[in-house]
Amino acid sequence: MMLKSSKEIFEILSKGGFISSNSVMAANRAYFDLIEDDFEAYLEYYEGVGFVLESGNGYYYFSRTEVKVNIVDKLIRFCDWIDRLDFLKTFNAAFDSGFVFSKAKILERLSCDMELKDKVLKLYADKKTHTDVVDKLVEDFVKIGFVELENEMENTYKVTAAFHYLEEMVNCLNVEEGVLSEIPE
Amino acid sequence: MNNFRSIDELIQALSREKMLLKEMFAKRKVLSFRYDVAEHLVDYKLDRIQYLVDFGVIRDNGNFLELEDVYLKFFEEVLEVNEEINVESVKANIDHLNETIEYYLQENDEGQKYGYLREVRRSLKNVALNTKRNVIDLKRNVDNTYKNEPNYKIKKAKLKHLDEKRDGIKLQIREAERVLDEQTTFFAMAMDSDLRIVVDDVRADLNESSHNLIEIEKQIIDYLNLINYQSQILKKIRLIKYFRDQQVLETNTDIKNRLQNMNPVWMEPNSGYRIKVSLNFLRNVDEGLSVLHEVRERKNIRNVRKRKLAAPLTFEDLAVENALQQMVDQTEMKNSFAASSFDLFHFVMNYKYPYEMDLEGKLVLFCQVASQFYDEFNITNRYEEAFGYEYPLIYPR
Repeated sequence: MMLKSSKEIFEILSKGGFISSNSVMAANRAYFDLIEDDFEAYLEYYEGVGFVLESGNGYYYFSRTEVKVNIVDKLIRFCDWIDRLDFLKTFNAAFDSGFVFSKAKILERLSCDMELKDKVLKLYADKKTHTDVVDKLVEDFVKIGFVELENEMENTYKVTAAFHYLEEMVNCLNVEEGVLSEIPE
Repeated sequence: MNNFRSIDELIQALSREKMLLKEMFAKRKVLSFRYDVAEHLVDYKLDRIQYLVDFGVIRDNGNFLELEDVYLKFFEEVLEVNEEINVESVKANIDHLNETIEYYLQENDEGQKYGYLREVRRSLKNVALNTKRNVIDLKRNVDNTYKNEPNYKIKKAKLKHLDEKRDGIKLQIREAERVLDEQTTFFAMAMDSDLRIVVDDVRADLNESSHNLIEIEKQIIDYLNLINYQSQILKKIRLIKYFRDQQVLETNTDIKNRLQNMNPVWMEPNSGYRIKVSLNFLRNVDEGLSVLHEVRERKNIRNVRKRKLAAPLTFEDLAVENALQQMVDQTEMKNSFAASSFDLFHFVMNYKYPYEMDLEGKLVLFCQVASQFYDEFNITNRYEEAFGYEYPLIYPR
C-alpha cells in the first residue's frame, strides 16, 4: 500500500525540518494527522531508506541510526540553538508553542533591554545590525519549522509545537551533582 | 449626598446618562477616565455630571471620574461579569436561612409563619443561585488568569488564591447541604409542594456545583503544573546558557553522552541529495531533449563569451603549397579489365601502373575494384592461391 503524502512528508523531514500539530499551514497539519493515524506504517516505510521517524509532544522529525555527524559538530550546532532559545526566552518568558510575535516586537524590546542587546550580537558572528540578526534568527526558526509566518500583512509569526523539542532537549540534560550551588540567580 | 427617592427617578437618571455610564463601565479596568471625555459624552452640560456626583452614582477625583462601587458592583453582578468570587454572600445566605428557620419553629402565629416560610424559600434559592454563579465565575477566572496573566509569579499566586476560594465554595456547599439534611424538624413540619420543588432544585444545583468544582480543581492543578514546568524549563535554559557562556557545558552536564546517542537529521549540515539525471529520460523523452537544448544553449553562450581570437594568419600561411598524391584511376582499370580475358587478380597484379606499386597496394586495389564494380563482374566460386593469399576468380561479364 502506498502511504499518503509520503513524498511531501519526506521532503520536509529529510531536510531536518519538523511537522507540527498546530502548524499554520493546513497541509502540514494534514501531514501530522496522517502520520498520527498510521505512525507504525510511516515508521516502517522511512526506515527502509535509513530514516527513523521520531515523535514528540505534538511534532514529528527524522533521525538516523548511524552516526553522520561527529560529536564536536553536534555540540556546536546544539549550542547555537541554546543561544537562540535563551535569547527568545529572554525576549519573552512565555515564548512557547502558540505564542505569536513579530520581528518588530523583538526589535522594539531590543532597543530598551540591555540584557537582550548584550545577547543579540553574540548570536551570529557575521551579522552586525539588530535587524540583520533578527531576520536571520527568524529565518533559521522558520527553516527548521519551529515558527511559521502566520499573517503576511502584519508580519506576525506563530510558534509551533515543534518548539517543545528544543525545550525538551535542554530539559533532558542532567547537571552533574555539586555544581548547582555555583550558579548565581 | 442626595438619595434617589424612587425607582422611577433612579432609572430615569441612569437612562439619561446611559452613554456616559456605558463608556465608564467599559473602561472600568482603566483607572483613568478623564473629565473632558465625560464632558463630551454629556454634550458639555456639566450640571448633568454634577447631578450624578451629587446622587452618588459617580465619583469626582479631580481630573478623573470613577463609577461608585455600589453601581459598579450592581452592573457587574447583574451583567454577570464580576471577577470577584464572593464566598461570604453564600455564607450570609446560609446564616440567614438558619435564623429564619429558627424563627419559623418558634413562631405561633400562622400568618407570620407563612412569611418566614417564604423567606426560607427565597434564601434557599439564593444559596443555590449564588453558589452556581460563584462556580461559573471561578471557572472563568481560572481560565483568564492562566491565559492572560503575563507574570509567572503573579499567575501562580492568583491560581493558588483561586484554589483557596474553591475550597471556600466547597465548604459552603457542604454547609448548605447540612442545613437541608439536619433541619429535619423544620422540613417535616413545613414541607409543602412548593418547598419540595425548591429543596429538590437546590439539591440538584448544589450537586452540579460540587461536580463542577472537582473539575475546576483538576484544571487548577493542571495549570499550576504547567506553570511549574514552564518556570522550571526557563530556569534550566538559563542554567544551561550560563554553563555555555562559561564554557563548562561539557564538564557540568552529560551533553556529550546525550548527543552521542541521538542522530537527528537537523544536526546534519545542509543535507542535499545530488541525484544524477536519468539517461533514459534524456534519450527517450521530448522534455529530455529540450533540457539538452537548453543546456547546450547555456554552454554556447558561455563559450562565446570566453572564446579568444586566434593570431592573424601570416603570408607564409597563405602561400600556396602543392602536394602530390599519386592515384590509380579505378574506372579506367575496370574498362581495360573488361576488354581483357584475364581474371581480376591476375589483371591487377600485371597492370601497368604509372608508379611503383607494392604487393599490398595491389591487394588493396584488387579489393577496391572488386567491391566497387561488383555488379559488372562475374564472380565465380573457384579460388586460387598466389603469394600466400587465397583469391576468387573474377571475370568481366
